[in-house]
Amino acid sequence: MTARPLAVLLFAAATVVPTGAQQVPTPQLDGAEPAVRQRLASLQADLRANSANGDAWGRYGMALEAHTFTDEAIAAYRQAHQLSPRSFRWPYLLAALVDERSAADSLPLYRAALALDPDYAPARVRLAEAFERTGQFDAANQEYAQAVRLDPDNAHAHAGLGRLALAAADADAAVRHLSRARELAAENRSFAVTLAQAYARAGNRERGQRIADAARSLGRINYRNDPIRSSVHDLALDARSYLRRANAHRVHGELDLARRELRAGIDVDASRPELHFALAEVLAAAGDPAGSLAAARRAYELHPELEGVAPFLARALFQTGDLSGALDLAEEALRLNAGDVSMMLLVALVSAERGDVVRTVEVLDRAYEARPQDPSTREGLIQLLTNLGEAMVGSGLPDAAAGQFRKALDLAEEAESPEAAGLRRRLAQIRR
Amino acid sequence: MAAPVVRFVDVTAESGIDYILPSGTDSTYPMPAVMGGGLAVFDADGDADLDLYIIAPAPGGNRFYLQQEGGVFTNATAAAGLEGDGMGCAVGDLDNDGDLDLYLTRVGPDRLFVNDGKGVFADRSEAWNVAVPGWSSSAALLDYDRDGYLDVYIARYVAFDAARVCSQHGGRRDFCGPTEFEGLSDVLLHNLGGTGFEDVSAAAGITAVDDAGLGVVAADFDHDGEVDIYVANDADPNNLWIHQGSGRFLDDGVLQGSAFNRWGNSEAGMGIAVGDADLDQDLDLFVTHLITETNTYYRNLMLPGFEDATIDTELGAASLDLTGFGTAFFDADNDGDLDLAVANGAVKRRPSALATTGDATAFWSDYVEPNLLLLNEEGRFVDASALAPWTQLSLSRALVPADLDRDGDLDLVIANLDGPLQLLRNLTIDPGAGDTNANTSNWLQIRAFDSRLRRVAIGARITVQTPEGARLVHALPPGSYLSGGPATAHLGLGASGGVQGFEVVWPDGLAERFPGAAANQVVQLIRGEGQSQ
Repeated sequence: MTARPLAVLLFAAATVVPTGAQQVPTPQLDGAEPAVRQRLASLQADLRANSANGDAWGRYGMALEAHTFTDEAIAAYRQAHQLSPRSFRWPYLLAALVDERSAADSLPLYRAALALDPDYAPARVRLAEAFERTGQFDAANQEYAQAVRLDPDNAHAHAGLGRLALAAADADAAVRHLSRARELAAENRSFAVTLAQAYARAGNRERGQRIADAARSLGRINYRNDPIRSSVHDLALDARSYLRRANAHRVHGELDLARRELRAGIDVDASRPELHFALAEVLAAAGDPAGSLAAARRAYELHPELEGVAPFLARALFQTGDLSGALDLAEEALRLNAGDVSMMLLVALVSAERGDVVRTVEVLDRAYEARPQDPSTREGLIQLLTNLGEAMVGSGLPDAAAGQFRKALDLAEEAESPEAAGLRRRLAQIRR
Repeated sequence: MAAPVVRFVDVTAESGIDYILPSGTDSTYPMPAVMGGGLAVFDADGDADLDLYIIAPAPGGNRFYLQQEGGVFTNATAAAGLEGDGMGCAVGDLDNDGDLDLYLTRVGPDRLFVNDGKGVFADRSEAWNVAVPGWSSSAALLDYDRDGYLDVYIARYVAFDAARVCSQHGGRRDFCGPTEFEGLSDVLLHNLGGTGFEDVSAAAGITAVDDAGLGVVAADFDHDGEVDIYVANDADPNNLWIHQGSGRFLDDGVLQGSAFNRWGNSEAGMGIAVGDADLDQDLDLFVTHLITETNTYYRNLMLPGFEDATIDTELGAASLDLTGFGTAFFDADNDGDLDLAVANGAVKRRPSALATTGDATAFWSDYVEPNLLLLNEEGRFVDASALAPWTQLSLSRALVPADLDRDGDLDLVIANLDGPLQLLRNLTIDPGAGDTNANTSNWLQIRAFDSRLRRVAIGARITVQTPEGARLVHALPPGSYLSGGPATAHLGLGASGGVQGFEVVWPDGLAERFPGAAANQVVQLIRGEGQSQ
């Protein structure tokens, strides 16, 4: 048997709906986390007791999908759709999952779902995207437009219209649609970079470059306001899923929900440093410095080289007045990332506080050479160089002081900062 | 449309190569074990036959095979001085002494092997200063400063931490993905007159980003006479480093439409194919990706810029359920347009395993996949992988097209993790006694040679005037993934008995015209012997 027919057969086996008793699809659970195994076992037991209940099949399908058991989820959704033919949810979830493998195969399923609820805009957008992926651009255009009529604030529908315009070499229309998508979903990097490209195609590279540069700070977040699909991911019980959900809550400023997810994740697996570190960040944002510090310490104990944890803990210790601890952590952070200017500033600050002028000068020199672009870091560096310069003046070292003021002035001039004028005057005074 | 037939046959068993490329995987799921599997196809000993270097992530796993008469290969690893391990490589004459040297990328310091011309290599890593830290993946050769010596661009991957534990499918242990780690900035090594390298990455501007680089090709994408660099990044936006002309590069991938796919998403970029797939006289790009992402075809519009034309070319559907790595544009059937081959194999457990065991080891049975052959039918690609050997399930990585048996069609070599190498002989020409499926298509292989430098002029742009119109080819290694290969250009001619002429733009900008040639031969175009433009 050849591989491709084998794949088709497996897919068919997972999706075919036999008459009579349907066997409960059971995934390979060796190595799965206990909470996941228990949840799936419980749902399987429900199903065996209520095998004619479409919603029970659907709930099982959602739990399977939440833990990426895709084949089994497809089979369960298909059975749910068969047994509950008037429910919109099951053909829609089935369509979205099938769509991940074959947009063409998902089209009739989306249509079946929309026949039950024609006004659910997220489904209409997904249908449009499936049309787009299969090269049916006119149909895609119609569906995107219909989705905009149903939900004028649907960013994905506007973005779809923009993509189609860009592909059709109508750069101006692309800019218009994608600008609207970006207004509605400023956190979405995909919309921003496509808009940047549209501007470049429309002849405005400068504007495009500005948008592209700004998009660098955006993550891979692709949030959709789709309550039905979101409800699937809410069911995931493995530790990573808690982190994923917490991050989604953080994006929307829902710190309490994020905290709850992270604590639940830690209950499932307390050995994951990323959960503790995320909790530390959430607690800090929520105004709980003691809780944040404790969580950060735990993350650092579990994985001292986890990205960002050493600088975070250094700052947290500094804020609590533990200068010695802050200095050790900041030096460790610099060992891990020699270019971290914010840690250089922290080392300089604590070293200056302790009267270690040699170390202070040394790290400020390094920070100056690094030419930080981040405005707040640059301002902090200018301030520290100025303070150091004044201290040197006070110690009767005018030449050395002038050197520090010269550096502060360089940075201020590079940033076109209004502070430059004052620094220039002070430097002239010192030199006199 | 019925899939057209181009026949390949697996001749590995007859080749004398029975080596199983060791991944080095174990119960800790070390990430390099699932990402490695490199390959070099090159004439190491100057006898005109192509030899093979197999690169394995497991310690001591590399093997070097010399091709002998009759297409049989013999293990010459120790005698050639090529023992060790690694990820990938680049092959070229780095000291301009007329033979091919080997740059080996690794998880750890890279290595440089200098050829004595007879296929015996000396490890000159220290003298040449190639101690690139971290995880190097693919490498590309280019002469960006036009000093006649080949420089090296090294794509680097992630700051891998073996202590990190990753899982999926309800918490089942699995290999980590790139987003678990920080990406690494790439490295550009400037060749100091064939005696060593200087790291010029910062001065070149390429340290501005630290993405998870896997595939890399170097070519003049905008025809401004300066060589550019395209890097496929895993989960990060791809880079299109446009050479500004003074050793400085600027990443213009976003505005030129080659950083993100049509949907504005960065994908899991692995390998790269480069070639003029739509026959419009510029270089297009094809990047392989993860399962649930399609592979992506970036059509060069020369605006300058690219568009994602995956949908128009029908290249999406075949790849959606597979994880692609090595890939190459090559004219499989010598009909004058470029076809595609893709080596596949998952990096995390598939949602539906295609094998229980079979040819796959039990460990990899959830990961193995079939490879793809996609034939170009007037700009649309048709899946022609329904027959053996394309149905073989394996964990494939590097893929290199090369005319191993020198019969005028391009064969394929594919490296498989914890599996045997695949030597796929192309039966388009010389199908064997009694076979009535012989294709009568003609071909040319073109070597753009610079006798001053004693080597192929990597990067030379060659426009061939054929009866069917102008065709663009380049003196470029195949790109692909963790691979090095011949920089001989191959052109299928269909029924044409020859070509009317060649125009070559050499890497230093000199343009020359050469007279035409009859089909079915290797043509050598020597710099300085043509008519200057």
